[in-house]
Amino acid sequence: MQSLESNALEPTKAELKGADTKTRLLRFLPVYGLVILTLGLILLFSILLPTTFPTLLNLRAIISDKAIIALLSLGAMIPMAAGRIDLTVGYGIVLWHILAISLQTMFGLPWPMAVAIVLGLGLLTGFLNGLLVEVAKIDSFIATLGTGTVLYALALWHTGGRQMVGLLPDSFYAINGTFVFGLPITGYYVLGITITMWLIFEYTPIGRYLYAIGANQRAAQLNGIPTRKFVIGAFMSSGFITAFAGVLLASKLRIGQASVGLEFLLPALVGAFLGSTTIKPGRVNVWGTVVGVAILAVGISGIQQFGGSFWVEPMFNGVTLLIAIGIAGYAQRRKGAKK
Amino acid sequence: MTDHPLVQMRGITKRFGGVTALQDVNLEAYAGEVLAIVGDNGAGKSTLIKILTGVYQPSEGEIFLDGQPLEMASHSDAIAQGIDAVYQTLALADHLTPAANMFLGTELTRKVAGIEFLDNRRMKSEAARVLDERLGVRLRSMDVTTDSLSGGQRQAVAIARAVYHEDLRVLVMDEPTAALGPQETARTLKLIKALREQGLAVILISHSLDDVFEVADRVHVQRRGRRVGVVETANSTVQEVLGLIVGAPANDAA
Repeated sequence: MQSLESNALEPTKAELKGADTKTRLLRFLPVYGLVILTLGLILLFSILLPTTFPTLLNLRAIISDKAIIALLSLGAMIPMAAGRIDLTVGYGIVLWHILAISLQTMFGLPWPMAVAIVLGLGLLTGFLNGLLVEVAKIDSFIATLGTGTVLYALALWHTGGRQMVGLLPDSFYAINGTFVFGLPITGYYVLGITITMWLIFEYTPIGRYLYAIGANQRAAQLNGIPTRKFVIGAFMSSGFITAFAGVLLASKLRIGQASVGLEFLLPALVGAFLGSTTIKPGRVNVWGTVVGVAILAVGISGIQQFGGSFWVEPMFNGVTLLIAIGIAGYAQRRKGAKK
Repeated sequence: MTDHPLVQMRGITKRFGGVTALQDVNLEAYAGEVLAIVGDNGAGKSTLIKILTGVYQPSEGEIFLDGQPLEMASHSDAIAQGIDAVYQTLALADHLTPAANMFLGTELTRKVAGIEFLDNRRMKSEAARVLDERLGVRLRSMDVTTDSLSGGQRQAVAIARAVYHEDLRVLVMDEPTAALGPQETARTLKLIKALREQGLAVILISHSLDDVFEVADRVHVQRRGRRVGVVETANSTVQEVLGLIVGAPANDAA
């Protein structure tokens, strides 16, 4: 897919050696621009809103609010690294959070069983996506739009338009509601998955193969990499993380309904795309994705405290994405022109 | 050049459905020699080397390596036997470093707590060593991505990937100079000569007869799926080879 092709922009050690401070800063700007912007926004809002913005309460609110988007972003970036897009992250979470509750309320399963089934179904969906994309050779955008829409239809059919409610065990609520060192546990889930994914993507052959498949699948194949296996694996990982996010959402909302979840799709993809403009510009990367989600979270939180309306969130998401991609493209062309 | 061929293809025929791409083709390549394969489009050059590198299987005919019959079911079988190829569209992942590309699929790793982690430092030094020692190429930086390298340097990275395997004996190159400027072409031809000196059998597909006469010892001419002649560059001319390629009557003596 053209839009996912990449061209890395990171400055090299050799380029930096012998460069003066100004050129160094200029070379690093595309790499850490988004990070600096995030810190700048935090500083700006802290000065303008000293009593409400830089508070533990606000940090908690942001983390508990955005952890699910962060997880979906991280999930979506796995197939993205291999040059595929996975739209089921947004549709899957609708069905998974409903099932995490209804399996308990309607079928009387203990919650660990319900969670295990949901996670298993997430893996299965990823496997199906992988088969459609790699075996049936359907473009990933179309294939996952199809499976995603089917998942959504299943959610509607299963709920019949009603809400899934019922008294659930406290231990189920604790999956989302626990605080560790004063911060929501969901933040630690994100941190744990981020570090694991970062190690895999940057420091193990698995990550290298996924990036190689994303850059040149034919080359990867010629070099003996089982590309089919890796692409299917990427979709399964993304499906698993989506299902996990669904469980968190269920535990957080305590209600399952088909009208909740779809709105996560676009911010999740925006986060991953934003991430491809920073840290390792030119390719989707783990910390970049986290920064992408963070800048959206910070920006939206600040604007909302100023009394921004309900439409501010998607507006901020969209504008930030366009600006970041625009700047990244500009930096790319300048680098290309210099060569 | 030794007396008996390192690689010998005998009576190779390849049919794709009703189309016969190759008809009873023989090919011999010797260690320490550059053999060029020339011919018009559709003459069967690519099919021939794809059979030699295990990508296709012949409909009829046999391949011998060092006198031993060779059965290859896939390209990896060919690599295991010491036959590798550098493709026209270089099989490089552009946003990875030269070292990452060189070791793609055969990464060097070290175990930390039972998990295999990439040994990036060793891959980088090994890549730099192979590029320098085997190909005489030094990159200004090993940390750049391959898409920022010149065409010739990318070619070198692709070749380095093949020659890193110590047991490589036959290297097939498909149009290695097609996308290069004059200077890069000269450098690539130098690389090919260096590989010949190291005792490899180099098989080269090229459209440029100038390049062929510059670097090759013998020229294998294909026309319409058949071998129409083999000439030694020392005793031949561009004119003669051109005649064979287009099938001019005076030279049509296969």
